[in-house]
Amino acid sequence: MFGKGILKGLGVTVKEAVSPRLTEKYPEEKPHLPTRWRGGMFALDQEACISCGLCAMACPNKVIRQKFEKDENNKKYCTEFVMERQYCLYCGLCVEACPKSCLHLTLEFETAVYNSADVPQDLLANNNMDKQLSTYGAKPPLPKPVPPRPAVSPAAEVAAPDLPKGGEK
Amino acid sequence: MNTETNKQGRYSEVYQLNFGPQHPSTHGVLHMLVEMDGETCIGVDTKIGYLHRGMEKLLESRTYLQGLPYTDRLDYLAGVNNNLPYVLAVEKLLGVEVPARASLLRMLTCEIMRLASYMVGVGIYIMDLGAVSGVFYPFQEREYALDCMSALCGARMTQSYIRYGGVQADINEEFDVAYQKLVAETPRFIEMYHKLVDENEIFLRRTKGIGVISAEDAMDYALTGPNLRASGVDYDLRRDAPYCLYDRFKIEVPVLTAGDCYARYVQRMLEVEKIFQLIKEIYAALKEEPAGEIMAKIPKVLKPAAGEAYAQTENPKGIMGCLVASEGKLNPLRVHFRRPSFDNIAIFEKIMPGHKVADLVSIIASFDIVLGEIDG
Amino acid sequence: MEFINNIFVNIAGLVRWVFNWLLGWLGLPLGLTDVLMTAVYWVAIVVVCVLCALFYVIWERKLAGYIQRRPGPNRLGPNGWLQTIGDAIKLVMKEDIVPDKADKPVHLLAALLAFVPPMLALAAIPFGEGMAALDLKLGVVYVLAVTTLASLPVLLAGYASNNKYSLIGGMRVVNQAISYEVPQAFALLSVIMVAGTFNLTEIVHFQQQHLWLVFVQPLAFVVYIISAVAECNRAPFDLPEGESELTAGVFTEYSGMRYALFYLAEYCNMFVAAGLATTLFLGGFSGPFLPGWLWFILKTFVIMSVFIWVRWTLPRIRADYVLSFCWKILVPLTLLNMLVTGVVLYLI
Repeated sequence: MFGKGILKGLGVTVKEAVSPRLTEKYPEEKPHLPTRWRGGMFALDQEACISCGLCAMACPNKVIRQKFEKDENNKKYCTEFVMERQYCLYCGLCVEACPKSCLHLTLEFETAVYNSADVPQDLLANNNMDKQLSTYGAKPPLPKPVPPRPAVSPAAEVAAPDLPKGGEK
Repeated sequence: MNTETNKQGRYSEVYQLNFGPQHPSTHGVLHMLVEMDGETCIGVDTKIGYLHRGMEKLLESRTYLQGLPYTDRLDYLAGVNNNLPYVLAVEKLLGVEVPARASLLRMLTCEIMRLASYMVGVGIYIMDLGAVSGVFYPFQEREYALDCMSALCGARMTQSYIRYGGVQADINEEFDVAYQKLVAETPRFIEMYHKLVDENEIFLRRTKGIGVISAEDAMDYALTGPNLRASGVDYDLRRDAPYCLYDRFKIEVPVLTAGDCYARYVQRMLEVEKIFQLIKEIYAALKEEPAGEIMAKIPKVLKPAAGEAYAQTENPKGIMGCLVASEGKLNPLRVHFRRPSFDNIAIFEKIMPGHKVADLVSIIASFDIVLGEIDG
Repeated sequence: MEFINNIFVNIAGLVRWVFNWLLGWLGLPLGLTDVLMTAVYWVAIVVVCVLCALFYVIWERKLAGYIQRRPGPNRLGPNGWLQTIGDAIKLVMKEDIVPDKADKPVHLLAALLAFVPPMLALAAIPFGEGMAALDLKLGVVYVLAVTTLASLPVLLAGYASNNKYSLIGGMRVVNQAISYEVPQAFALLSVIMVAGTFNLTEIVHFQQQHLWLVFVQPLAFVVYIISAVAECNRAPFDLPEGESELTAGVFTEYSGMRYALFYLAEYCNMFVAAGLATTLFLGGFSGPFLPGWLWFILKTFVIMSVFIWVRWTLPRIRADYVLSFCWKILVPLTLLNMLVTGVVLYLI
């Protein structure tokens, strides 16, 4: 009979109309983010950071702006560590590249700001370590302890000079 | 503006209609210059490039690992599926053996995203035909698939989950929870959607016999994916040229022969069921697989040997191929993608003339194109 | 009870008494009262028009939300029920854009004219006992004639915008409105044959005494609803503005307040169609316990909800099928219905 399919469809919509709503009530109820979530602010464990610069080197889009200086013990330390989030892809490669697991993503997702100047995140001024950290890129617990890797792998040092330029800014 | 005698021998003014790039049913920024006689289309000129980002050049100017996140942005509805051909091609150059567990994880994520992509495909189709509610039900379903992915790798759409030599992370409890939800909800959805759409008389009139593609034409125009199979060509790379560990599983490929818009819709819905079965099989196999390495031993700095490698995978939209040429440096010399949506839309200019303007919408939507992939 | 039932009639009587008293006090001819009362009725109809449009816009969005398993607009006002007012204010504030090569006077006129037909039609519809502003003998014919005019401003808009999408949309409006006028008229004709009068209030009285006409003429009711949906350019017959084909169809070049006028007019047209269906088929303002005008509001609400429900379920019909459906299915059906009705009436 003509119209049977239409009536069936109308039945489906009326059934859906009386089903419970699926919308997350966002501003009232915070969404539940998975622990490996990436896409929020960054956090930096400043004590653990060895200023190797691997994170900046891993970044596809030159998001990380770093400046290093050496102190009296000839030890490198950061004087500038800024995440220019406006270019960030949130691919998480920097977090994975960190040999000391000191760079983290946080589960803090409400990152909107009023001025474009506020978008870059200065990790030295605000290291965000008090926020809930994402476990993304965290090294899985291995069965037996492995010797710590060298701070800067020789290959990476060699590689650095002819590293191709990232995207134009 | 010119006047020509039309089929009935009357003189009527042929006019050009700009269909897109700013048009709600061109799935983004596809531009079609349509020659119209009244409401009938007599010629189509497809223009692309409004979303061109120079993807291949971007990949060539970055190291192999840095380039990986960009491949997600090709077919942004199925991120991992785009990682795979690039990674497979580079792995061929590197000559690494991928652990079985990593291969299974790759397949599992690819199938989950394939399911998600098909959901969008059928949903958008119904919406473009005017039934707006039809888009919300598949999107709710897709949300469960995306929840799985975000539990697994932290991102919903641009996952960049697959790495050279393996994958980024192993499954965890969170993934299991999300996966159980997906498994529980999908059959209900499939049944409900068949009820909503399949027998709807208006839908049948809008799709049956519209945009018919014969098997020969489909092969001549290098159609791939569900659009090819809806025309009666039984070809699926997962079964016919297996990559990863697809040869371990029995891949059932539904094939329809009608080749019209309705067949393309039914093809997708049938494949959704098969994909759902396959997801369950792969998950079971993954649970049996002993926990172990998910990454092969690969050098920290990737410098593949000079040479060329080509790899292709069956993506939701069709066959995605990737050619990588290396000269032994940190970045590839040349990367080229065979992008399925791009090849699929070539047939528009053949099948569209003679249809009404409303049918153009139906045809575009039935192809399930993604502009990120077309423009690259 | 009786007081609530007649509350609006009593208010009208009170206003008339005040006018009479005022005119007598000022020493003016009492004939002016009718002129003043017409103005009062007119204001009342405008208020009804705007109120029902405002309400049904938000109700449509809410119901669409429920069908799609989301809450719909829920920010402005209690649970979002004031959203339309916010939207209206936004649209008024927006820049009034007229395309350079548009036919400017017609472009403006079309938006203004859009509101006229539903207001004219509402004047004749009895909202309750004695609550028709214009209780015409040929009420049905008048309403039919006036609602046909609703396609004219849309055609003007399509023509004046100087846009191909708009023009195609405008052409479709005329196609559709003229075609569906025929089965609609035939469907109503069989109702009139049963009721034996063209007067809307009398048709309601007929139904009060006998039976709701939807039970006598179910086919005519279905055909009328389908044609009414088509005449209001609602989905699945929303070809003139078919979003996925013609961007916004005739309204492509309209923005701000002019668009809002079209938008509100669409809902008013729907309300008129629903009101006519209620009056002719569902017993109008007749009903137990509740006051008559409330029954009328409830019945139109149900029909409006059906319109909305259908819109959010069905795909859009293609332009040529719209016409073939009308001429090949609906017109023969209604003709047959009329024939059967006539024969049965003759035999009885």
